[in-house]
Amino acid sequence: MSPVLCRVLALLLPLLVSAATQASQVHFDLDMDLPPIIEDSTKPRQCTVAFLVEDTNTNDTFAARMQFTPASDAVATKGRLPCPSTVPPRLGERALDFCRERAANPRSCVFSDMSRGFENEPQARNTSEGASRCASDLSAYVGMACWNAGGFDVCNVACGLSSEEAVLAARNRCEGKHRKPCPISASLPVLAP
Amino acid sequence: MQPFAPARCSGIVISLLVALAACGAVLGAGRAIAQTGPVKRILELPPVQWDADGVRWRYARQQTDSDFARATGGMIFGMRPEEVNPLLPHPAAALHWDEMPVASEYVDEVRYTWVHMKVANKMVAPVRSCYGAASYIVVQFRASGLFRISWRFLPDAACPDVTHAAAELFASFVPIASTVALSVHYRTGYAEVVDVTDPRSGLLVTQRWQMRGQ
Repeated sequence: MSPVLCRVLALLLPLLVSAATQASQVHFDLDMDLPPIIEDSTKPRQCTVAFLVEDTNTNDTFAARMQFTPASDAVATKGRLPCPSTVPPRLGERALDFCRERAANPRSCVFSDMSRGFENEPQARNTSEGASRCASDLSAYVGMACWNAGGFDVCNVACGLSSEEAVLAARNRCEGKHRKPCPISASLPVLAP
Repeated sequence: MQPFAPARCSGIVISLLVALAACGAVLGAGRAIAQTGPVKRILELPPVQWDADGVRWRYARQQTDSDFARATGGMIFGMRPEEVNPLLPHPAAALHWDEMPVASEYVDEVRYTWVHMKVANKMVAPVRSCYGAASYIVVQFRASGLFRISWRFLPDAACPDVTHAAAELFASFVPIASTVALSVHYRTGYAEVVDVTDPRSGLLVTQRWQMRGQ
């Protein structure tokens, strides 16, 4: 190889390397399949309180999930952020309002944990707001068990770390309270999917 | 310290196996108890985000008309009859406000068109349970455009119970925020009705269809 050709190649080499680098960058940009923001899947989920409410006219059960913005100094335990020690009554009222918006008769909306004798007086005052909710720092599932009182279901609610545990606890509560078999059941994760 | 005794070891192993089997039986029984009987459907409302003090709330996810359109085969509130017509299963030659029948159950002027549910596949996509052959969907307009779609599930001899079908349809609209579409489930006579209404419809929102002869 002649010395002149060697010099020409030596001068062109940086340009060739630069062109190759640019070509690969363009190719990378065009093939960008990944979203620009990737969510941190290890981040603990914020506290969620799940309420169960019922439209006794249609027998519809609604789950209202209430998420809380964590305090700046909140510390997660076992991957769960803490929930407020007391749940303000307005949350339960909001859950009932969601049912009322979707019911032809707003008065037929009640909490899903019902007192003994509810079938004779199916009103919200015969239901328990506190027993109709589960919090994500202590439980993973909200369960319910019911018996059918003719036109509508009479139910009780319980929390658990599994669907089976929540339903079993709800069934025990229902059968203990109403002194009847409670064969109808349901469960749902406390956290939104 | 006693030397290793194979017979004693096998005894321990057998005891462990018996204990494990017993645990399995107990757990299995618990599961069986938990799963016996009919399962009730839980309708999931859109999650709500509260501030740290539990004073103010907003929907956790911003929803738009697109969320509603996905459940209706492309219809959105405010569409004119001419825009809705091609989205119906059997479009009319022409659908105009002036030529549509008046819905007598409203005080305001409301006009409508209707389709049999059995031919409206896109509009009953979530429904798996049976419904009577006479069941139908009413698409209702006021002068400003589409404001309500009403699914009316009617039983018949082949399908005497339409509660499951109505619940399945209702379940697909409940997760939509009431600021986008107001869904209501009710019974009138032997019909199960699911109304999905534009929340900006004023007093029309609270007016319901009543089955005649009740």
